[in-house]
Amino acid sequence: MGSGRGPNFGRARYFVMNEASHLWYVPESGSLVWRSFDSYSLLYNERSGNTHVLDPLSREILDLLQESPRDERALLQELTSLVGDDDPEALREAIGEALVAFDSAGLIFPAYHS
Amino acid sequence: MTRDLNRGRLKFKVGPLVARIGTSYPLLQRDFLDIYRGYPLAGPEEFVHFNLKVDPVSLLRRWIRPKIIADGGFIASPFVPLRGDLAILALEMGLNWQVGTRSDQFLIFHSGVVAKDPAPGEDGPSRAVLMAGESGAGKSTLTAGLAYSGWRLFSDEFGLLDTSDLHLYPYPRPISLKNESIEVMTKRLGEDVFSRPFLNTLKGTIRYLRAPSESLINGHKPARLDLIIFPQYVEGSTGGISEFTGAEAFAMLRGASVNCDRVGRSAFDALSALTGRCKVYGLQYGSMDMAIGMVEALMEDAA
Amino acid sequence: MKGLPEDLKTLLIAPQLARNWSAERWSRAAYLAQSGAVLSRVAVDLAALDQDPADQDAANQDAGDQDAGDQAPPGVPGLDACLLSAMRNGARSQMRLSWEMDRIKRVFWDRDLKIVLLKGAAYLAAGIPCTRGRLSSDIDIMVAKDELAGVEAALLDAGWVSAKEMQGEESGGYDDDYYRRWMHELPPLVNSERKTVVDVHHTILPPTGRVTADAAELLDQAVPVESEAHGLKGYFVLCDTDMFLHSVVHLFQDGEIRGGLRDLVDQTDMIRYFGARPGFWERLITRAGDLGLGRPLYYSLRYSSALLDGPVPASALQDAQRFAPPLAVRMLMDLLVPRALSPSYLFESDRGAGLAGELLYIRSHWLRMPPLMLTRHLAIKAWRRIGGEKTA
Repeated sequence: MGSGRGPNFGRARYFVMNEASHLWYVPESGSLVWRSFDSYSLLYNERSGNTHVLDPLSREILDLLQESPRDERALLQELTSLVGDDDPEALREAIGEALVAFDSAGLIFPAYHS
Repeated sequence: MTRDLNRGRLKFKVGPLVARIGTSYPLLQRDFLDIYRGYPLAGPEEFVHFNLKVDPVSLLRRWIRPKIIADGGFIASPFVPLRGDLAILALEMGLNWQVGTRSDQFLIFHSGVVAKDPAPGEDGPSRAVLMAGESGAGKSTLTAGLAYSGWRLFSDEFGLLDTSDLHLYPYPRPISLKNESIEVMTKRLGEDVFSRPFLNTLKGTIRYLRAPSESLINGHKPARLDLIIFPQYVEGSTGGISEFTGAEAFAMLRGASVNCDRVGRSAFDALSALTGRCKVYGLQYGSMDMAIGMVEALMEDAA
Repeated sequence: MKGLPEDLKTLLIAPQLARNWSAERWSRAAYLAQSGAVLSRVAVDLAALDQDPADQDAANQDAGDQDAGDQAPPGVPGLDACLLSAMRNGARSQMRLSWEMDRIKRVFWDRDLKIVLLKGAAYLAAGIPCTRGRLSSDIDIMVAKDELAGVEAALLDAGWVSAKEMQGEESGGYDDDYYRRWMHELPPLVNSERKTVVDVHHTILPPTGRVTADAAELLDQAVPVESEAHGLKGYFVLCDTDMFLHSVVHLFQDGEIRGGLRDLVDQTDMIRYFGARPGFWERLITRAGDLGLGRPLYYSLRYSSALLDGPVPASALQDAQRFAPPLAVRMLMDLLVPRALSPSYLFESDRGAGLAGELLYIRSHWLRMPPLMLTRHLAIKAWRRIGGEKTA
């Protein structure tokens, strides 16, 4: 049924999502308005009208994704080089949690590797 | 005035807002003219922001077990009918609802507001304190206490903030006091400044405290927002203050706002500017005089 | 034919002429615009005039102002505040709409699925001018009929719930069943977090209606959205004729005409926007005939040009004559439609408007269902109401 209906949202029908396998990007990052208080960042998203509070690590993750689309593995590598690898499991978990939160807030969007 | 009410031609001012009211129900006319005594009327050169008719739901219900409902001309009306003797509540709620949902030129806080005007002959801005917090935390009572202790009443219901200059605009409505607060305040201020009691409402007994006349005379003058507090009455408290800063203060303030979603980006900018500029306190008090003293002191300090 | 209230019409089609109005006149007109859900649009138009000095000079001349250099905004105290409020509201509404599109896109991002935006979402995505300050609450999308179940399941899985369930009515009840069997959409779904409603359609007309549109053809003719906005890219919209006809069906056949001023304004904007395309009018008339939507099209062109000065070419009006109803019906509609579309000022009662609305409501139900089903539907509704009151 799909063929002949033109370029739609995705390419595979009922593709089973493997969280680690795709990229995350920040759509229209120009619509994010930032304010900093103490070590926290306040973020107003002009696309959704929502306001979010981010701790420093979450801010860093979002900044990285804003820089260029990355998958979870790439994020882990970069952050490890930034904060050290004392507790890689905790870091992995923190990244995972941040991605879920960003995704449900609509701050990031999935994409396939090209 | 009664004739104007009958014909739906009575236009009066509450701060920067103009409301046009109509009712043919004599009891409501009496109650309205009683608690809105001294309000400035609007001339033909002024724009009307809100229109409200409050009348019996039907001809029958005018006379037999009277039921009164407010009508703002909405396709799906948010209002429910009330007992005839509570008609003024229908009017008050109808007006509050319209202001709360259709005044997005302001960032609105669910809060009481009072301000200190400069002493006669002195220069400088009027300075406002905004008292936010959940219903029942005592902000209406505290607002009432301050409004009759040398502060100018802005509102016991809505703080109207102009997002472009962070000034608050007055919205001096009669203050609705409930149950125990009525006794506290009648003892303090005497009976003369109160409406008759309205018994057996959904919230118990209600009496309206009239706005002090100075706050009506100066009802058009805005004030700079300098202090934000979240008051809480705790029986027997000897007084306590805690300061909120940064993201926490922002979140508290945002939570107190009624329409930040509708105001959008301007609301975010205003809230973050306020967080940087104003002191934000939680305030516990055990008596009215204690609270007034604490607010006076915090305002001194915020200068 | 009775027209819209004069000042409301002026605000809609020539707001520059309202500059010199008195406060009293503005108060009444703004109330009417608010009641007709078009105040935000008017506010946007007025703000645009203030931005554009060329227009303003023209406006000053139009208004007979001797001093064309005088660019003072409307001099009514308190009016600007009201317009700012309305403008913020309109902007908020448009933002919610495009955000909801983005969120729905997230649900289906990895599926090969053609989603056609309808109504307000489509106007936004296609950049139709009527989107400015347009207040819309619901999101309407259309998918192929055999995709319906999958789309519903995916939305339910991603945080949407049945609107009826949210109001405490169990799914599978009569209303639910009614939607699925007889209507052209799933029962409305509400996002539990944002409280936004999405209506998923598989065609633009109920299959029980006496005129039915061929859904597959609508989908085939749909065109991809050109907007680069993240939330809108990847969707489809109906082609110009179908987009117009859908609005027409919604107003003159499907729903209630009362309160439908906004829809007629949409149609008038589309008439301006699409009407300039070569061959649009011929295609429109032909398409309406093919889909069996000639009658509602006739009404739309008639009332848009009569009430809002919609620039319908004389030749198109002439061509649409073949869809005209019998004279008696037309005269009745001429009486009812303008009244039902006109808001009235709170302090000037207009009982006729209510009656006109009632009559048109009965008519819309009658058009939507074969006569027998109408009584069945109403009877079941009535039984449920009696039952409900007994147990309450």
